[in-house]
Amino acid sequence: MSVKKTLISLKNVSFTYNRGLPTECAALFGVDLDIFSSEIITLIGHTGSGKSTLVQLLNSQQTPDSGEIKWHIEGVCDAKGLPVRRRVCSAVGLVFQYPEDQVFEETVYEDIAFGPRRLGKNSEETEKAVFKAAELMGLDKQILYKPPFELSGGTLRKVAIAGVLAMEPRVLVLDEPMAGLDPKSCDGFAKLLLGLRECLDLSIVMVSHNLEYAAALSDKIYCMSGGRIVLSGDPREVFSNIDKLEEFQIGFLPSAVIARDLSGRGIKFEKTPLTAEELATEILKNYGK
Amino acid sequence: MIDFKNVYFRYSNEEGSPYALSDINLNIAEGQLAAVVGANGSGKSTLARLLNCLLAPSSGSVTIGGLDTSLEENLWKIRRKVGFVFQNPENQIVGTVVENDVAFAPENLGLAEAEIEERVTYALEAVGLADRREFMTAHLSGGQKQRLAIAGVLAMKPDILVLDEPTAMLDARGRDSIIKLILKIKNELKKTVVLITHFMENALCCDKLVCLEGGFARFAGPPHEFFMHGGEHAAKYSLRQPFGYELINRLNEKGFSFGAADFMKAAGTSELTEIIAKALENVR
Repeated sequence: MSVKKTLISLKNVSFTYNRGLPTECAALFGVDLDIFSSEIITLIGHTGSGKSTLVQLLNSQQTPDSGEIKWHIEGVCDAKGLPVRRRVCSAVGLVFQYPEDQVFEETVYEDIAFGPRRLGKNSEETEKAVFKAAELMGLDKQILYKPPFELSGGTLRKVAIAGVLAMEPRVLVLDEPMAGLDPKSCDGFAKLLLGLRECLDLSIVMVSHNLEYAAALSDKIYCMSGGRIVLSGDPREVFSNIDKLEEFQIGFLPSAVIARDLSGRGIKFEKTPLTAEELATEILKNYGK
Repeated sequence: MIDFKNVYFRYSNEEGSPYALSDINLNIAEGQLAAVVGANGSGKSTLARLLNCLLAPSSGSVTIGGLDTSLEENLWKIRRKVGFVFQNPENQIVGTVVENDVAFAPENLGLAEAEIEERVTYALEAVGLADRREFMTAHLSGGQKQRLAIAGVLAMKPDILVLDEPTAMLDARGRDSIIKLILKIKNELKKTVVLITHFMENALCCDKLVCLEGGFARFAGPPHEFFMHGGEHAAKYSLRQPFGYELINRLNEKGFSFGAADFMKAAGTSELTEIIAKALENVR
């Protein structure tokens, strides 16, 4: 893997919806966040904690009221060094929670081709981009000519992601990528995301309620509450801080809680277990097994 | 209450087209809470749609409270008996204000004003949204929206409630609130509930677990029986074990001997801590 490079940095960013109007609503307060190249990060927190607002800022759909957001991505800024919104939108690809919200063309091919065409690619380049994106997502060539709405939810989600990948983003933002998938499909999706990072040197930002996958996939987790980042770190740091997770009602991993409670009873843990498997292994170590 | 006899179903009647459900024999008694689990494409949603006559079996019979779903004259009677809640509440909320949304179905049933009023109050109290009565539906959280969708269905006073993945879009807190509500609907409102879910933790609190695979019902019985035995059932049908079961099964593989009673208790973290601490004391 190449040397880690900052792709997006947010410094002390605050944001308020409808500023100055009676419906004014503050959504983010003093957020500091760095997204590095080929890093997977997950934002967790309740509805209304500011996750979606943060995602919209990353994608330049909203501009902060105060603080600073910088994109260190080639080709995103104009000659004066100012970010160009259109370019940010294609460099930071956003996939919504419901794929049917963003898939709209008559065939899968046309849908994936929409982005590259809008970026001014000719038909040959577009075709190449479509085939490459479809291949990355493991979509069979046969389905490219089908209407997207005949596909299952999981496949439709892959089509939506392929449509974003066809614009060759450096950062992929996914809102709840696992929602509604069965465990096997979730595992498949997790592998797919890891593969994308590997093949494309892509950074992935996930918004997720699924703490198990957040723990399994992320390099770094940011927990949000009331528009602030209240806890961050690698998965073990975050999930071992059970007091804080409880304070902000973010949820917890059962393995970490059981490990904490068993430590109080003299059982030793070398590290905070994130899964049932790790917990069982740690328990057995106490008995030389 | 719900009775499937030799049910086969396929979406197309062309020769050779595949069956979405095959040879389903299933009985869900009145007042039972049944969970339907299985991989994507195993037939869960098809099964749910057979329950309220959105689909009729290709062969065999489905009866709801004694009414055959294949008979046209039973259609509306059954649809009033069986309420349906979908995965995404947004698809099911029609009003801009909470009370109007809940009143939508009773109004369309042509009920008297006072009766509508009574049903709206009943439904909103049941789901714990009585204090949100005059709120805009758009201002509710995800969990509240799902509870509103459930209230909209309860206002029709169905005997049976079918919920298709009602917690898939929710965070842990929202998920807990919906599961508590489902248990309340079963225990206090005495409804029969069919819950389609990918969350095995949710399936544990049901009376009966039905596991589908490739359109066949592979298991129907108490959930703890399904998840015991080293989790082999779960693995075979590409399902995850509930956390506590996975933990205990793994420890059993390495020489511990937790039994059925321990599995029954393996739901919460504090219970699990207790069982394990006790077992470890014995080893020492």
